[in-house]
Amino acid sequence: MKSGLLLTICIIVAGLIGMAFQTDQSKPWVVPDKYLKMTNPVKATPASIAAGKSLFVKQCQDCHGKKGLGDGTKVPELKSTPPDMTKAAFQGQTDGAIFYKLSEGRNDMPKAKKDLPDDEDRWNLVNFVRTFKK
Amino acid sequence: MKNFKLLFTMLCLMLWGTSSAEETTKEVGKRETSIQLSFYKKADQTKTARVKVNAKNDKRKFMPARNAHINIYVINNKTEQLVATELTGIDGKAVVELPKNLPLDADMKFTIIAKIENDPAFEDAQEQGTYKEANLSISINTADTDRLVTVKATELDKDGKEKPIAKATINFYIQRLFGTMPAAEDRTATTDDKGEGTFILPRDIKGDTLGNIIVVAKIEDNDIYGNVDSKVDAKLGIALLVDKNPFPRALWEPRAPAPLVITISVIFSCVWLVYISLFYTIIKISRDKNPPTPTGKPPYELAYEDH
Ligand code: HEC
Repeated sequence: MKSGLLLTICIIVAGLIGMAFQTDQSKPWVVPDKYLKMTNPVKATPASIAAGKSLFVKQCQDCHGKKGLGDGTKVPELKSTPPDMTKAAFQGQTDGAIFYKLSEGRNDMPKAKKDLPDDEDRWNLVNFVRTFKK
Repeated sequence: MKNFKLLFTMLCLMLWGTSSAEETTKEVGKRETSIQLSFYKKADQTKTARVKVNAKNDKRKFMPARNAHINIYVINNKTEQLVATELTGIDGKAVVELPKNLPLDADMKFTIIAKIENDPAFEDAQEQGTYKEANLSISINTADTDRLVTVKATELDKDGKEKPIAKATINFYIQRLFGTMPAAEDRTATTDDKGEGTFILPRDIKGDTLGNIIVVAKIEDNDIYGNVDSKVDAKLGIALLVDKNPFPRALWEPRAPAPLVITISVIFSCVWLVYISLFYTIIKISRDKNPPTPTGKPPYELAYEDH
């Protein structure tokens, strides 16, 4: 009786350990409606793109790579995988969706809102990652 | 016994819990590949192209790609000219030496292309970079007590004349045995219209026994010039004191103070001397063939005399 209980606990613990190591990236990243329909208030001017680029080089390139391919130097240490930003699957999203994802983060993707509390900085980043489109 | 079984099951379960999350890499056809390319001009004027190749594993994650065949081309009169081939190492990196004189285009720029072509394991990929050659010269006025390091960045214009590079970011480092160390927390200078930037060397940099250090100025990851280094020797470090007598005599050191050594030696030698003299006498007695007959009666014989 006692050992049965212990076994159950063990199974639960093992399951939890497994879950902790599993990154749940296969799930779709749900963006709230409010963001999906949000229009980009910052025009993609050369100045905005340049501002986005300098932020990207400093804060994002290590993971997402210089060209947004997801081949940054830190990637081998990550549990989740930064997606290829040149592909239609990424570029097909609305600006609002990209803004939401980079602001809020998920798995290894940090909350950019923390370091860059100013909305304009993050919209500049959205405008810059649009330039990865092939 | 039952407990042992339980413990074993528990361990197995935990191992399974962790291992089920481990990544497995399977080779399925050619892998999607990315190339990163950068240009380096070292202080000794050698020019190299550094290539990093990543390939996607079955989790679609870019990992360093080993043993990828890299072809390096330069553009000469609008045609591609193969200059070197190299295999990437375990970290996915390869360093390729470039010719001293790279073919320049009308804007005094050169173009390097790194390609993976017909590699059995990796998809074709290519990356190119167009750069201008910059010259960095670093100098230190040693007479000046401000420890001012000056660096001048120039490029050659079309007529072969030197032209200053303005607004370039230059970082300062100190050469150490394994690479370079930032010279200070704030180690950056931006060049002015004359192509000059300055940096004040901190006072707390450790040098060799003579106080020599090597100051390195670098243009790093520049969009136009790539990576350029320049070095200068300076006697501005703190001289390293080599302790000639690392173990002074002391009670707590391997070598004790002389009086202690002498005292202990004297005590020990006295003890040994007693032993030695004892042995000497015993041997002498046992070897004596005519022991002297006692002239008087020893006291213990007196005690037994009456029986
Ligand atoms: C520590 C590595 C890391 C850094 C730094 C990082 N990212 Fe990410 N990023 C990721 C990973 C991993 C994902 C995928 C997360 C997932 O899908 O669960 C991701 C996802 C994203 C996405 C969503 C892509 C999609 O559509 O699924 C965007 C947009 C993004 N990152 C932008 C940025 C920007 C902009 C920065 C810089 C401020 C940045 N990232 C910094 C690792 C990083």
